[in-house]
Amino acid sequence: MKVIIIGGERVPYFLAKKLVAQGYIVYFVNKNRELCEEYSRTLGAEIINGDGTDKAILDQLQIEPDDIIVLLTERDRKNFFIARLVQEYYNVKNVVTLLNNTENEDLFEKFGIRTLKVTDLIMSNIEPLLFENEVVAALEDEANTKGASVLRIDIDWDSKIARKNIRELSIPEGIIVVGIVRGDKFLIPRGETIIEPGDKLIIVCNEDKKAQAIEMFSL
Amino acid sequence: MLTKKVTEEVKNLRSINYKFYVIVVGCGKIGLEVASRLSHIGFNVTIIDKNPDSISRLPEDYGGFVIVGDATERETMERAKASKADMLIATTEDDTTNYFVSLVGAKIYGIPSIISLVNNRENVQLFERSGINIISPINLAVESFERSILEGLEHSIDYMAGDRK
Repeated sequence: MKVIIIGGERVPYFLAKKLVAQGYIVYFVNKNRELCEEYSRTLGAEIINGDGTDKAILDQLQIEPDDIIVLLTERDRKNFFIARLVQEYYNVKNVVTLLNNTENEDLFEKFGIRTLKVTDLIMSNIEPLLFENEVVAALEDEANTKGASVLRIDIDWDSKIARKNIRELSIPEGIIVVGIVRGDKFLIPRGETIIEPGDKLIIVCNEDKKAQAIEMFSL
Repeated sequence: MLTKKVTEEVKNLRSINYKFYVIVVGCGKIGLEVASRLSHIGFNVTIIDKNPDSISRLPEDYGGFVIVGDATERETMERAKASKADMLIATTEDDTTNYFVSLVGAKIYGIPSIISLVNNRENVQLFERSGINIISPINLAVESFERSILEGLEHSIDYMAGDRK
């Protein structure tokens, strides 16, 4: 069994390096000649300079049905084409592809091609950040006209208020914790909600309580 | 000759009040010609191309719709009402694009008939195995040559036979 990586730039390098270290036979196919020259010096993998959508190039790889094909070109149509070529001509069972456009997932699925949903992964990481920014922006619009401030405070690992619940903090009047950003979640806190290190608190307070709030939560 | 036959078919369809809807992907030399002819003989036609300059080369009397967009994106296919199409014809000069839009058309939008241009002769088999009707310019040319050569050969044989008598 061998692992054949087609397309991509730096990701295949580190991927191949890891696989080679684990004792796998790795082939790397790329159109970019300079990249191939570089990798043929630095990687212990078979390097083939050529277009993976060209069957003549694939024929050089002596692909077997139990080989694993990893497709990393930046065009879904190319990854799809190569995936179908290796399925039809070499009966390859395991094809994994980078999915650039999430909406194409259904087509790949219909042909039993596994997909790496990179766009989704990035979205799920930035979504809470986007949401947080929207919430804060909306709050600020409201608060500013009413003499209030919106604060964002990161809870450090050594914070004195970490691992306590909101009630225990006895937050004074005029200060309220309206939201907690935790990982990819946005929590609306209650009295029993425990503040954890790494949380980001979103606080609304009266303008004159601002200094007090910062002092209190930044301990 | 073919056009006449197609025109008759269109008439038949029209007699039952059905207008055949064809999506043509790619407005290059071939796509442009195919789309113009089909619209001329009474098909509902939409042609899609990424490049507005290509679209502008359509003849003035082209009576179909045009969409400037990437047919490998669903949004473009939705705009072209792909789920209502009776046929999709892929004519770009890139086989991976033709293959991709052909299978999106067939498998996602359920278009019953798919015809694709296959630029690289080596790819013919893959398209055919995937249920796509193919047009391969090289194969067509070779077949035409073969036919002409055969005719020429028959002619010579007749001639030689006649000569001997």
